[in-house]
Amino acid sequence: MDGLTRVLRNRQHAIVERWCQDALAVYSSRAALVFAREQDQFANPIGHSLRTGTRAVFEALLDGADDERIRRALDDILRTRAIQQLAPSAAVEFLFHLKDVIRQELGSASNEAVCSHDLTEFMRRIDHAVLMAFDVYVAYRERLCELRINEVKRTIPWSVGRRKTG
Amino acid sequence: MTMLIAVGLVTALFLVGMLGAAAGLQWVFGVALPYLAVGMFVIGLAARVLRWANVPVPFRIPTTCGQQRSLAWIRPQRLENPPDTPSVIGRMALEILGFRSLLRNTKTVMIDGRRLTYATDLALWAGAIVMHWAMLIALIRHLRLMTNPVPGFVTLVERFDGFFEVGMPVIYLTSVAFLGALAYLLYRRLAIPEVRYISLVGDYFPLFLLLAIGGSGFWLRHVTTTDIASVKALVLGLTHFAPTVPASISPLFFGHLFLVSVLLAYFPFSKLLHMPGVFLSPTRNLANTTRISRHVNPWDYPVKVHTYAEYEDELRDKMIGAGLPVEKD
Amino acid sequence: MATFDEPGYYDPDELVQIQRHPPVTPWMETPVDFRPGTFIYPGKPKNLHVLGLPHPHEWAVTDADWKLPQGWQQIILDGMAERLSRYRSFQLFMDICVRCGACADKCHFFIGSGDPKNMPVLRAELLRSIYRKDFTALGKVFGKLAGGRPLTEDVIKEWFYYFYQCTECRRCSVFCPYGIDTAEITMMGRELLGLLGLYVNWVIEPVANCYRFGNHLGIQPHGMVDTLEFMAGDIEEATGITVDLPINKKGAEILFFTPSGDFVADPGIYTCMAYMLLFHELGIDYTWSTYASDGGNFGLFTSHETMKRLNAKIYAEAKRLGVKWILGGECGHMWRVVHQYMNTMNGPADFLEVPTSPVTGTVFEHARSAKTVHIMEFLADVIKHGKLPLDPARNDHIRVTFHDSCNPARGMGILEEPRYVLRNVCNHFYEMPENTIREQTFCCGGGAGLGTDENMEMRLRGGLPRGNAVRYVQERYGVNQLAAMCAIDRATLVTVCDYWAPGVNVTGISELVANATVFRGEKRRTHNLRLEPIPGMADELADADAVLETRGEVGAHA
Repeated sequence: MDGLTRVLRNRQHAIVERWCQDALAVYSSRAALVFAREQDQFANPIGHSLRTGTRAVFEALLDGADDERIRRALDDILRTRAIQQLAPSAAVEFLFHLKDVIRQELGSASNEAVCSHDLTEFMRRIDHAVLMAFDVYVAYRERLCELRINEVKRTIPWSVGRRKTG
Repeated sequence: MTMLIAVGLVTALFLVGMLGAAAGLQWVFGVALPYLAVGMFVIGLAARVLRWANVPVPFRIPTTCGQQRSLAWIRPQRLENPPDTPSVIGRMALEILGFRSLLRNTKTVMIDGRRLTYATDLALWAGAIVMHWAMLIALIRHLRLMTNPVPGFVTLVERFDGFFEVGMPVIYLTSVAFLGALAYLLYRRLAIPEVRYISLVGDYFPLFLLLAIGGSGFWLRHVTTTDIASVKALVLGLTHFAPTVPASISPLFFGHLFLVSVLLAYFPFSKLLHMPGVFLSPTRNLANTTRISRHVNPWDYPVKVHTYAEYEDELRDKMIGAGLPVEKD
Repeated sequence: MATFDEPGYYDPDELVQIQRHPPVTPWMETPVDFRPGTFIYPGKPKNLHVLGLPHPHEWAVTDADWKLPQGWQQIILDGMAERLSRYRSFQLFMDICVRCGACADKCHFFIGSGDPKNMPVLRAELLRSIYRKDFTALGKVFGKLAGGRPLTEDVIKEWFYYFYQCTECRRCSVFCPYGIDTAEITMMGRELLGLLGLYVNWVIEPVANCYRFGNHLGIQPHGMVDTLEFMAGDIEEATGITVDLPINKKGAEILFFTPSGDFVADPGIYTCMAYMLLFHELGIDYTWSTYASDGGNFGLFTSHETMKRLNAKIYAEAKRLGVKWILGGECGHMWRVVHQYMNTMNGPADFLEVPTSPVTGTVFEHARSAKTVHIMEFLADVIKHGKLPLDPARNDHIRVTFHDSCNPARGMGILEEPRYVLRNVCNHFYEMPENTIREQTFCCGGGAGLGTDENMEMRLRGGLPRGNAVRYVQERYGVNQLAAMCAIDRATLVTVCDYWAPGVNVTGISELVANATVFRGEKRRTHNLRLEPIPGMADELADADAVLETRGEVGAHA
């Protein structure tokens, strides 16, 4: 695994850059280009969370990090995607694209026997991350419903609630 | 596609002007059409501005971009939130002469997710302001052709404009700036995805028209120079209502002149109306004084309201039950 | 081989290969995708009947047929013509946009959703394209080539979707070189939809309530008395103070009105309690009104006429009760109406006196015609004169940031007053990044009648830029409380924060003032108005006593 990790780490910048561009592709191309171009964290929170999120996820995968760290790295991206006009599948699909990006970056090297075993292992990690992304996505969808219920509860006239309890 | 339509239109118009004049229609392109265009411009613009002016401003709705004038010890931001007429004039002057609102595109930039810096996105502001000011100065320079003797300020402007004394005849700074800024605005419209998405033929057409006018003007002055005295004779004839068409003017000039005519005629029907329009914008040209003095709505009409009497009639028993005072028992 | 830092490393061809951008259709050919969670339910006919509005009918957003009335196209075109001749703003904004794109990335809904039609310029083009086709010479002749399009049922659906996806926050108007204000466009768009009987229920039901009962929630007079009594009970529990409840009191000096949301919903109720406590402490002769029991005015989100119909009760009630002037509580859109419309619509209020603070004697010259003062202007003046004994240490467990509400910021310019008050009642106050506050403030995503639960997904998209800035100060300065002087903020930002910056609570400013005030005759303050224990209060009892002795000299950092 070390050999592959080193190669991937050397090319981390390029891989993450491509992967991030790719993850933007779920948005209409107009919006995607805006999200890609605008650097301001506050004027462009979606682009910002994608840029920092993809980097964090990739680093976590390289380190063979535990579930908790991967979940944390995925958090921002999926928090945003959970409330956007995307099908659930489209929201988590971007992780699979990391595989394509890595294969393209490694080129023919990925076919070499030494590498291929490690690569299979790395791809397995990506699969695992997809499952976790699904968890995070669902957790935020549940959060959304919970917030909706909370809001209705808060707007029940306060004095009515009071009468019931006391 | 929209852009290609605009390019095609401008090219065709230029050729019409040039070939028409070459085919002996100098009177049409040198006299009749310019008069017609100026007429359309003046009447169309006046009609439009009068129409705007005749539409009332029922409510005082300035967009406030700074601290209001309230308590004596809080300093108001007069130019961002004008509390009186002089401040409004100041705000409008900043807007019209300095493009204040475009300058507001401030940005906070995170470098490597750590260092926070502030920057201003100057590109649109710079492109717009350079283009507009250069156009104004170029227009002033053209007064040389319309006046005899030439007024002092025109000569003065020319002197400053040709300050660098490059080329023969001197290349004016504003000619270069005008074409450069237009090219940038065009580039921006094509390169920035959201701007390209919203662009209509009506957005590309004026850009190409101005580019073609500026380009042909530059060409006339520096490349295939035309007989400037004849041009001046033509223009003076037009401005003094004694039109003559000297024979020695190149068709290229008629192409240039025809595009200017098209621009003038097109102006009152297009987005170029932003020029007079900015003066009338109710979110900018009104003072934020609604609580200080009453703004009157000229078409105000009485509306059906639910009066207190109706309210009490419906709820009197409940009000009495809750111990609230009522008007009628 | 090139290293990854060298630009040549990226092979442009390969980069192109990996793009998976979906094909883009021109905006005119992209129909609306009504996904549940992104739109608001239609207005019920019974509410339209209460208000006597045209064409009440049952319909559903997801239906193919919206059952538009006979001749609806003509109704819209006539409605446009009428408004073009009445509002210079509308006529001008239809004509002068140059589509420079300065506004494009300024809208919180665009930033959060990426939907191109949420760019302010395109939102306006939805109307402008119809204007061009039917009202301009070029459009009539050249049609689509001149940017026009025919008025179809799909256009109406698109209007409904996007004009109820704009919070009329005016942020785009700040950046527009001609001041084109999308709020004006949206207001016109909604008025036109209204001509066909198309409203959202979350706006039109409160409007119907407000028309009949004086407030959006339909609280009847006895209910309001109950509510205020319950609050007085909680006030007593927290502070040991018994406050008066002047309601419909003739001859009071001041009529006080505030948005009715603060009567019923947590955390607005604490702000409401704070008003009662502070007026009690300052010895102000004021009254509530049951008839004018809402300063909020969802008429602003319906039509100019409806706004006027709802607003009329304020001056009428001030006249009936014989008060001298009017004081308004913390609210956003209410202050847009009060500041920019009320005097014109229902004035002149010449039966009232120029507002003068009974506490400090300050004459509020800036309100000499409308006779209505903002509670923050009033409190800032009181604090400046040292008339309120404050112990900001009581708020030391709070690290607060301030959210400028859209309407007070961009439709009034009340920026410094709330900040002055906050700095005097909290020792830990942190600003959010500068392009997210003051005149550049980001909306909560729930203003202009969008703050209901069925479009929660859309609201969280719109709330993303604000939530993101809140999270930034939360992570950087440990901010745990967001103060906002708007009832809609107090309802919707709770949700925005819970999603984007969990751990940040929402509060009104007056609530913080009341929690920091050392009241005459208060009992040992161990709990705040929320009846939550105040950390460290037991130790600071001695300090509080000291403050009591120097009453009058604390609190005013000049």
